[in-house]
This record gives sequence, C-alpha cells and structure tokens, in this order.
Amino acid sequence: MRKNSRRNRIAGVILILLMTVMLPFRSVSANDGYNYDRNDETYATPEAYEWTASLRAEDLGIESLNGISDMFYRDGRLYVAMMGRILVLDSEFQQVMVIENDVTYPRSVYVTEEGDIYTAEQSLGAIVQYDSNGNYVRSLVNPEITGLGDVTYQPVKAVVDDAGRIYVKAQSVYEGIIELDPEGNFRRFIGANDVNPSLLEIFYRSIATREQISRMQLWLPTDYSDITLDYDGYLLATIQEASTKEPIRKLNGTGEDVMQTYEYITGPVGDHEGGATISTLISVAAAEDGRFAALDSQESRIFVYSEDGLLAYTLGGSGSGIGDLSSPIDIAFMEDYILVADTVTASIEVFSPTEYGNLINVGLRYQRDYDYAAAAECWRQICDITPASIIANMGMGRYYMRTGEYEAAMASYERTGERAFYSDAFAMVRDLWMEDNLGAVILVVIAVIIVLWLIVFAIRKLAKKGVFEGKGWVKVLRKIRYNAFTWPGYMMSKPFKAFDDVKYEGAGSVGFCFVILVLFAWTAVVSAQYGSFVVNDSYGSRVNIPMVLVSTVLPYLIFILGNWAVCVLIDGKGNMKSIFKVLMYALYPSIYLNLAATLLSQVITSDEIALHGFLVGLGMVMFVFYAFVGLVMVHQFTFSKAVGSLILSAVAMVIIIFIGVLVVTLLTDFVNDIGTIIDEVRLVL
Amino acid sequence: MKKRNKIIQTAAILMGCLILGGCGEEVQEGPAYTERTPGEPADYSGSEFISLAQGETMELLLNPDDATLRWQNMESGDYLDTRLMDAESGDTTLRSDVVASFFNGGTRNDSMYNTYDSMNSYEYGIETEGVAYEQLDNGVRVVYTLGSDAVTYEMFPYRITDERINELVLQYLDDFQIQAFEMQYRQLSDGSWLRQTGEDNPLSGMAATQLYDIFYNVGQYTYEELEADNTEWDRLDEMPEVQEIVIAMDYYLEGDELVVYVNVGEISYNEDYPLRSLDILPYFLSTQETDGYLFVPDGSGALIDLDSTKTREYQFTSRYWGGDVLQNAETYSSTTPHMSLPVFGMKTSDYAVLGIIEEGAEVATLNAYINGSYNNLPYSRVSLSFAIRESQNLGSFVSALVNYSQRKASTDTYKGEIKLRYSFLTGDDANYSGMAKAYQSYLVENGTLTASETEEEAPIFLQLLGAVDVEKYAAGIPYDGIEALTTFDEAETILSELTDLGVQNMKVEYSGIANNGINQSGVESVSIMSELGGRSGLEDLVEYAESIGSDIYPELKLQTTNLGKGLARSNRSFFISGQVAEIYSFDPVEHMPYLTQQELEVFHTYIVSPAYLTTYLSNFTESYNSLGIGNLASSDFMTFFSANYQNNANLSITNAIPAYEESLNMIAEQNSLMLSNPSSLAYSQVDYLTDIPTQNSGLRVLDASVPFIQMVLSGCKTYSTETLNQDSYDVTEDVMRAIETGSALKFRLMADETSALEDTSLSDVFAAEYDAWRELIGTHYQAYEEFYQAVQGASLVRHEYLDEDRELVYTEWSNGVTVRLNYGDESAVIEGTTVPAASYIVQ
Repeated sequence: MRKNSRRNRIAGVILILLMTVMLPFRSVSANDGYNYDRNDETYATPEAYEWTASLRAEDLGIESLNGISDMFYRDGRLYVAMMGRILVLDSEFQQVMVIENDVTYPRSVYVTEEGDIYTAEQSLGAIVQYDSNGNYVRSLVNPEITGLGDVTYQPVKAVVDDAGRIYVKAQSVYEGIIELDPEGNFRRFIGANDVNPSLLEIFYRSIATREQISRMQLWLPTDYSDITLDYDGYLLATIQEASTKEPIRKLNGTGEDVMQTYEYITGPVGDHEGGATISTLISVAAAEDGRFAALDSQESRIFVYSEDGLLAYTLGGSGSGIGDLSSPIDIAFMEDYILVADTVTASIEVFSPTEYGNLINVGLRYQRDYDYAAAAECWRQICDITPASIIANMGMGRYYMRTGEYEAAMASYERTGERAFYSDAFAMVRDLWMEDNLGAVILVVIAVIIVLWLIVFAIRKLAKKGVFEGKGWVKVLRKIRYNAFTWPGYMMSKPFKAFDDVKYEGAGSVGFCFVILVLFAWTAVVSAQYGSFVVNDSYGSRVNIPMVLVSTVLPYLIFILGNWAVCVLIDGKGNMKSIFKVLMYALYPSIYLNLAATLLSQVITSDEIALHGFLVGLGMVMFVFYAFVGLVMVHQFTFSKAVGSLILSAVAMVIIIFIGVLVVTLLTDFVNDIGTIIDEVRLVL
Repeated sequence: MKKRNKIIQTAAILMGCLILGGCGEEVQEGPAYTERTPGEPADYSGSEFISLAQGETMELLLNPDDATLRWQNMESGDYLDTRLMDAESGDTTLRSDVVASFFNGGTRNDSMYNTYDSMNSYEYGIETEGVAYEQLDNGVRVVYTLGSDAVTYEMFPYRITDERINELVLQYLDDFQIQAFEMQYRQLSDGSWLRQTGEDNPLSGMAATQLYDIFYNVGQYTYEELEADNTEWDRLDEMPEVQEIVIAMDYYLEGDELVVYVNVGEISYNEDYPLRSLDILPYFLSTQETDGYLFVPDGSGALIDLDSTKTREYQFTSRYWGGDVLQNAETYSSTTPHMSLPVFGMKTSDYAVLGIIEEGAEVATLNAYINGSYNNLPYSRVSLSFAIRESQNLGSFVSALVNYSQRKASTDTYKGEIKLRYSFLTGDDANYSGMAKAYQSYLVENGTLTASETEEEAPIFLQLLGAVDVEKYAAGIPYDGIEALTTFDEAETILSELTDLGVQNMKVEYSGIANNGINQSGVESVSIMSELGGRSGLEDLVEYAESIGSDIYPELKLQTTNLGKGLARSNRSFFISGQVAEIYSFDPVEHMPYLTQQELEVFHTYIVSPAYLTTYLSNFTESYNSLGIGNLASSDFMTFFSANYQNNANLSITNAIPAYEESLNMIAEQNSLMLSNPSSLAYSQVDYLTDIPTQNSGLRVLDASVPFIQMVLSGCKTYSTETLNQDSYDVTEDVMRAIETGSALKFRLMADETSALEDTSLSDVFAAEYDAWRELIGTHYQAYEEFYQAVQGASLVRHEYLDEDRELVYTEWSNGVTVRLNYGDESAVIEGTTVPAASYIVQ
C-alpha cells in the first residue's frame, strides 16, 4: 500500500504530543460525521476518521480477498482470515506470510500475546491452533457441551485469554458464550442472555392454543454476533438484534456486564431511539487505549466508544464514494488506523484520524493516564468545534472539578446531561458561596424584613388618616386584595364554610378563577423553562410551549366536564360554574408553591431534590383536599357518595378522551382522504 | 415479427461484417465530397468504405452496406467506427449508432406509463433494411426507419367466441398453455372469452411474449382473424399500431472535427408510444485497450483508467449540469457527481478524442463503463443518453394480474437539437491537457470566454458569514431571533487587519446580510439587515473596501429561498407528483429527508419556478440595483436547473433554461457577477467563479482528479478553490492544490465564535473563526502571491502525473513557468528537480 501520510500540523497542544499521526491527503466529504447530544438529538461533527486507502487482493500479493471474514491486529501484525487462507501483514501492509495448509474457511482469527494463532472453523466444528510461524498445532473438536441438545457445534468466533481459556461463540447456541479450558474441554457458559418476556406476552401465551404458540416465535435468548477480548481482559460482545437496550456488553470473568452506564446519557448502543438500538451490530473491536468500536451492518457505520462507554465519533456509512462502505463484515483497530473488511468490494478499507478524531483519541489517552490537565487541552478544542460533545464536556468537567473551577465544571456537566455530576459541582459552588457570604445573607434577610415591616406600618398609618379613601386605584387594589388574598385565605382556613358560600351565595369570582387557570399554566411554562437542571428533565431541549400549556390545563378542564356530567346523572347539586370555581381555588396554592419550587430548584443539589418535590407535592395534596371538600359541599354529597362520584368522574374523563381522540382521528383521516383525492385528480388532469 | 428470420439475418450480416472487417482499411480515397446537393437522396452502395469528406488530417468514410461511419486519421490510420461490426458479442447495441427508448405500456391521456422498450438502429434498422442515405456537405444523412415488434394488448381480440378460440387457438395448446391463456382471458356466461388486459391494465413482459406465442405461433391466429373479431365486437379502433420511429442522423466533418447532429423535433414516432430517450453513438468512444483512460468532467475533471478492475463498484453515470434538480430529490446519496462542462473524452495509447455537446447538454446523461462492467462486455467506453421525455417513478403497484411501477411523464418534451462535436487529438495533445486546450479554444472561438485583464495582485476570496436566525426565548416564549455573526463594522476590521498583514485584492463574498440572513426569504425586495449595521453600514463598508483595492460582493440566493416568506406557493417549482418541490436535507442517521420542519435548525429550501424566475429576478434587479453596489454574488444561481411540474403547466428542464439565461443577462447588465461553480452556460457573463473544485466528486470508480476546468478557465477568468477551511485548521495541502490548479484561495470567516452556530442551520461549519485564521491567511496568501506573480497573466497548459500513485505532479504555464508538486511523504525527483515531501517548487 502506498503510505499516504505526513506529520500532523495543528496549532497548539498537539504539537507537543510527539505523536506521528498519519493524515491522508485526500479529504472527501462523503457521509457526514455526527454524534448525539445530551437530549439524544444528533449534531453534526467534522469527520473524525478519513479514508486513506483501499487494500485489494493485488495490493496484498494474493489472488483474491473473496470470503474475507475476520481481521485481528496485535503487535505490528495484521491477521486476515478468509476462505482458504490466513494472511499475515506487517504494519506497512506488506505480506509477512500466508497460512494455507490446514486452513478450510476460518470464520475468525485471534492471536495470543505469545503469538499463537487460533481460528474458528465453522464447518469443521473446530478451533484450530497454529504457532507463530503458521504451523498447524492442534484442533479442538466437538467439546462435550452439556445442554446443547441436537444443535451441531459450529464455532464462528474464538478468543483466548491470558490463562489459556478459550471463549467460543457458536452458531445457534443461545445459552451464552462457551468457555473451554486450555485443553479444549467444556467448562461452562458465560454471559447467558436472560429472556425477558413482557407481561402481555406471558398473558397471551397463557391463553393461546398450542397451535398458536407453535406459530409464535420461540422464546430464544438473543444470540451474540461477535466477541473479542479487550486489553484489560474483559470480553466484549455484541448482540445483533433491534431494540436491545444493551447491544454491546463488557463481561467480566463471571459473565457479569460491567459496562459503564449513566443515568441520563445513552450508553454504547449504536444508533438509538428511546434508549434502544436501531442498529444491527455485527462486529466489535477493542483498541489498546481502551476504546472499542462496533459495526452496524444496516447503515455500514462504525461507532467508536471511549473506555467508559461514551460515543467518541462515528465513521463510514454506505454509498459509492471514497470512504463509503458497501457491505462491511469486520472491523479492527491497528495503531491509529481503523480497518474495515468489505465483502462486496473485496477490500480492506483503511481509515486514519483527522485533526478532530486525533484530538479525541489523544484526550482519551491522557485521561486514561489520569493526566486531566493535558486531556483538558484537547477537550477544550473539541468543545470549541462541537460544543455539544458529551465526551469532551465530561473531560472538561472532571478537569475543572480537580482545579476547583466548580462553576465551569457545572457548565460542562450540564452539557453532558448527567445531573448527578452537575449537582456535585453545584454543591461545591453553593457551599463556597455560602462560606463567603453567610453574614451578608443574614444581614440582607434582616434588612428586608425590617423594610417590609416599615412599609406595612406606614401604609396602616396612612390608611388610618384616611389618605386612601375614595380613590379609584385604591378600589381596584382592594378588589385584588380581596380576590387574591382575603377570600382564598378564608377558603383555606375554613374550606367547608367557604365552599358552602360558593354553593349558596355565589361567592368567589369566575373571572379570578380564569386568572388562576392562566397563572397555573404559566407556572408550568416557567418551571419547564427555568427550573434548574437538577430537577428539569426538559432542560436545554426546545420546550414546546403550546404542548406544555395543553397538557397542563386540559386534564383539569376534562375533569370539570366529566365531574359535571357524572353529577348531573347521580343528582349532584353543583353546576358547572361552581365546580369550576372549586377546582380553580383548590389549584390556587399550587401557583405559589410551583413558583417557589422553581425558585428553590436554583439552589438545591440532587440530594435535596426531595425539598422541591415536597413543594410541588404539597400543592397537589392541597388541591386534592380542597377540591374534594369543595365538591362534597357544592354537590352536597356524603363522603362515600363523593368518593364514588370521583371514581365515576375518572371513568367519564376516559370516555371523553376516547371520544375526543376518535373524532380527531376520523377528522384527520377525512382531511387526508380529501387531500389524496385532490392529488389523484390533479395527477389525472 | 418473424424473430427467427431476424436471427438468421443477423448471423448473415455478422458474417458479412467479419469478412469485411479486413478490407475496411484499404479503402481508396475518392474525392466525391464536394458536389453533393444537401437533402437529395444519395444512392451509396457497396460493401466497401467510401470517402465522404476530408479535412486536413481526418477523413470521414461510409460503408453503405451497414451504414458504418468511419472517422479516420489519414496520417496514422487510427480510426473510430460508429458501430462495432466485428464485435463478438450477440448484443446488437454494439452495432448500433442510436438506440431509441419509448414508453409502451400506459395511458397517453394522463401521461402515466409503466413500461418502456427500446429499439436500436442495427436490429430494427439495418437488419430490416430501414436505412436510407441523403446527401450532405462533407458528410451524409442516415435516415433510419425503426420498426418495433413490441407486443401489446391490442394484438389480441377484445372478445372472441368460444367456437372461434377453440378452432384457432385452444386446440393447439397443451394444458400449461391453456392455463396461461386463462390467466389473460375470462369466459363469460355466453361462452365467449373476454380479454383481461387493456389500456388501464397493460400487458407486458413475459406474459405478453407468452400470449403472443400462444396466439400467433402455436395457435393459428392472424391479424386478419383479429380484424374479424374486432369488427364483430365493434372494437376496430383497437387494432394494433406498431411503433415506427423515423430518425435522421447527420454526420459531417467541420475541418477535422466530426459533427453528429440529430434534430429531435423532426423525429417522427407513434404518439401512443412516445419517445423517452435517445442513446447516441453508444460504442463510438469505446476501446479494448488497457493503456489510457476515459475522461469525465466530474468535479474538476476525472479519469477512469482503462485497466481499472473496479467492476464491482457503481459505474459512473451523471447528468450534465446536474440535470433536473427535481428528479430523485428524496433519495440520499453520499457522493453526487457534478459536471459543469458539457464534454467527455477518451484516451488510448495512440490518440485522444474530446467530445463536446454543443446542443442538448441539459438533457444528456454521461455513462462511463470500465472493461467488463457492462454485461461483461470487454469494452471501456463513454456514452451519452439524451432524455427526450422526462418521467418520474411514482411508486410500485401490485394487483392480482400484474406488478408494475408507475411512471408519470412530463407533457413537455425536448424538441431541440442534439449536436455533438468530436476532436481527434494526436501527439503531445493526445491527453487531458490537450482536451482542455482544445475545449478552451473552442470556447474562445465561439465567444464564451475572452481573455480577461490580469489582476496585479493575487486575488483572495473571503466568504464572510453575516447573520443567521436562531430560536431565542423571552419569558419562556420562543421566537425567531437573529444572531449577528459578522457585522459590517467587524468586516471592516477584518479587511483592515488583513491588509496590515499584506493581504491584497480581497474579493469578499458576504453571505447572509439581507432578507433574514443565511436562511433567506424571497428577494424580490432586498433589505439589508439592521442587526449588521443596515444599508448605511454596508455602504460604508463598500466604500472602505474600494479604498483598499478590494471588493464587496453581497451574496444572495437567487433561485431558492429558505423561508416561504417572499415566494408565493404558486411561484415555486412543483414535483411531478404534484407536491411543492424542496431541496431536502437528510437526517444523518437513516438518511431520510426532513419532510417537515420538525427540527427547527432544519430549514426548507424552496425553488423559484422557472416560469416565474424572470419576473422574480427582474423585481430583484430593480430593488438590488437601487442599492448602487454594482457587485453581486450568488451561491445558487446557475449552479443547478429546475423544471416545474405544477398542474398542467409542465415546464421541462430544457424549456426552462432560456428563463435562466435571460435572467442571467438581465442581472449581469448592471452588476459584476461572482457565481459558485456555475454551469458553463454562465461563463460568458460571470466575472469571478468561486468554489471550482480541485478534485473529483470522490466516487470510488474514479481513478484520478485532473484540473480540467481550471485548464479551460485559466488565462480567461479568475476562479477560486472551494472553501479551504471546511472543518480543519490545516490547509497546507489545499493551498498546494490551489497552486497546482492556479486557483485563488477561498476562506470562510466570521467574527463570532463557532459555538454561536449551535442549533442554527450553520451547525456544520466548524472552522470559520476569524481570530484563529488571521495569521494563517496572511502566511498562505504570501505563499500564493509568490506563485501568482510567477504565472501572472499566463494560462495552465500542461498538467501531468508522474508516478503511479499520482502523488507527483508537474504543471507547465504558457509563460514557461513550471511547478513541481510532491504530495508524497518522501522527497522525490520531479523532472530533474528534487522536491521535498509535501512541498512544491515554482521555476
């Protein structure tokens, strides 16, 4: 292959890294790079790896690359398994040797640190070992595997750990990965996939006939698609099945998945929707620096993750351009290169890091060596280019926490979406601030209280003198005071009496109730928009205001309608107006509590989330209590009848929603049909 | 209809040709080509080549027996034939100089078709003796009458009595055939049989052939019987009409150049089977050699080696000038070839041929096949196909009887001319440099290119980003806000700082400064954004730029808008399916088009309908000229063309192009124009060409990039590279490419930080911060200026790769200056001079 490379020349820190980075001359924008932000939305990134070369059979000194199935790189040697041979190349892609004797059609190749070469010969049912010179050593055939039943043993992947234990992935074996001892005897299965049928499935199976069950899919645990050993000795395995939540696993010696997981960041799953993969992951590879990569055969795309399971970058993609892939089957890390074996073009595609990719790689390497300051230089540049990068912001956050720049750490962690990390940084900021300003805070609080007291005192004094009598604005203010404070206060302290007044004396203002409704909806918007990161799930994503408004207000309105309908039926005495008043006044405390909670959210850490929850919850409890009391009073129900009416109201709400949805659906269909007819007519004309 | 006879005939002619193949070269030159009367029938006969015309070095010969035209170099004896009579393949396309494709299944009334068929000039013309010659100055007109044997439902009775069908057909059939018959005919209660297929439910493919066999070959049915049946059931209007295409192809020499001319408007065909496309000279530029290359004008220009083994890759196919942007708009493609120049070519070990499409480029598709990729035929070739009637697949339909895809064809068809010109290049010119020179002198001769005044200092193109809209919030309520990226004041600072660094002659393409910024609304009325400093701010900036010898070119999209505002729905282009057309963006994960504005950072791109374009741009011109700037840049104008399929007002791409040309002339009248890699149609009016690619599009099947466009433009126009700082701060190599191709440097800059672009439509701009570039631009400009002074006023006349990996490049300029470039990672000797790795030497 031609070595199309040169020294990387980027400004700043990279120069001191003393790393020879192979950068190709040709840069073609084929499939664009992208990554996922904290809201799982994609954002564009520069290409992290770019195509450097296509190695075809003629470049490698063999007649064909047909049936290329697996690649493995260790210590300057690249091993390529294909039909009838194993090809060994050096780091310049020059042929070192070709093993053809005793090779049928190896589906995988693995090389131990000692240089022993192991292949999985699917058709022979054998793991075959060669020495480092390519001489045949032994075949491990048909181990006695308990519980395999009629299934023929067809190994397709085999890896060998330091202790000589052999891990085998065999075709149609669902019990997990087969572990053989160094002599090739079966020891056990590890990493078995549990079957997790949903409740509905279990229910359905229990009532289905035998015929139906036979037609249903078998309850088979998912099958691993590829396995490899990473450099820390963990077994990395991929599962090729849509909508799996953990399609890439990192198994320890006991078969337990030890992949780093996060509360909010989606782990290593390829492309995803709702936390579950939509990729078809068929191959996995591990790099010496802890990175690992998985290959999606559906979009011919490669996902590279950091050691701690964060998506570093994507590369590849299907297409007919340079750097696009047609039908990739296997990937491998080779120093800085990423190699992809493609079966349609019968080639090995070589990718090497760009400036951007190199920054991430170097940052990760420093981080692995606990040199957070050096890593931060890389992350800072990444953040300049792609501010949404989770991996870079995570690194920056860690660095700032160490240097004590907690506010900066907060900002970085906020970008990652991990609330616990953010909260830790925030707690530090808050504590430091309190330490510095405690005295001042106390003084300010006392001053405010005194000023307020003075104002109240002055107003009272003036009122006594009759200054406010007969003035128009005073009347308005008084009316507001009455509606907003006096009457609600009365209602809260004496709910039974107050709601009785609503029933018989028409107390309470409908107009003010509408104000309550609007204010309540507004508090929902405010808390969605300004609630702090710790408590706010929609933080940083675009808030759909109309949606927030509708989802806040609509349930109450439907309840009013449902309750009114039910109570008309069961002889409740309340009319629509009084029900509305009751509910709105019951909601009134929530406005204050929600605002207070939103304010409070700005000063709490995730350990203190309960406080925020308490305020919001208190509002709901008060609403339930006052609404219940109010409804009892306006309908003149007994306790049990009131409870019954509420249950019926809930049923009525469901019916109203059902009818509403039905009408909307029918209308949409109708409009669509009319549209289709118009289109058809237009096409014919 | 007698297929068997045809095969015998084919074989006979084939044999004849094989025998004749040898004698062709020994033809005596006959001086019979001056006294002919154009248009008169000519009675050429015989099975030997006769000479029709002679130029200085080239001669045109005709073999009257099989209508083969031979274009021969009289010095070397090298020749190209319009048909490969000695080919060993049974594929008669090899022996054809034209292949006509037409729709055959479907309904004419609503232009819906689901199948098409084709006839080539050999099998349906030569073999059936449907060929005649007419006299022509320096050439010959070959008139083909192509007859079709396509089977249609009309060849079978609409209804037939049980008695007659048994007598004529059924008694001869076996069970299997009866079964097949019953698939197509249903027995009514009176015993008669009713045909299941018809106009709305066409018969095609295997079923058609089988039914034809059942009726006419196995059975004893005939056209007379068909007429009898149709008379009985009053269906005489359904008698089958056979497709007959009469097409005249002119071949003549102009000097040494061969011209091939077809007047599409004069082609006659059966209106029920409308003409779909024409493949002209599919094997004229073909070879079995392995030394040489095919030339396609993709990107800067691209070569496909004749010894390429990439048969498993997608083969090259592309429409000139991007074709109709409405076609396949919903399909994502990672790599899209783009051809700005209407040329193609081939080089073998002995000679090179350049083809120029003089007329019809907008409907032409260029296909390049490497040896073994097309039907395993051992020919490398470039060939052209011309779309006469555009159509678009609407979807696939499955019914009980058939499974077909429905195409809707445009009612507006190509009625213009197709004119191809071939130049034969030998000696030192027999390569892509020679092709470029030949094309340049062709453009200079017809007035498209004129030698420009040379600029004293090296020009540098700076694209400044003005403003972009982004969602902002007020008390929780979102609204569209404007993010000013580079204000006019900041632009002035940038220009003055760069001037201090020695950068001169800056051509500033200032984007996003009017009508809502980068996401632009309609421009019938232009208003400069107040967020950037308003009209007076712009005027100050223009004045300042002039004072330092630089120019401001406000950049506007002239044939698209990103917002619906300012472009009424009825003035937009429509897809053939009847929807408003858009140029879609695709999501990066699954590559589905963003059909609605779900994601706020994804904006629409609507297309101004070509029917409205002149009005739109005349309004624009009026408004824009009143600003008094006199310079205008556009990133979309003339870079692609759109048809419009709105309701009945179908306007195909070919008939839309005059609107674009008229608009161009109107705008250029009062403005100096800067366009982004426009179609060659715009060359005569444009002053500065930006974004001229220095590479090909990156398709895997292509083997090399060559600076063909640059060789054509150099000495005549000022042109720039594509934006160098796309996503990287290291542009050393790109600057080398600029020096290799003589392109001015182009940078994209903004005063704001990259993070300001988050969640805007510019979120894929990663390296445009001016602060990071200031010093680098100064350095790169100095390097380029040094080179520029050496080649100032000269044109690039030779470009050559000197090694197999194409890392060592040697270029020569018309003033004798040479440039040696080494893209490798080791120093190398180029034409006697050692050049260090990743470096170049100007001498």
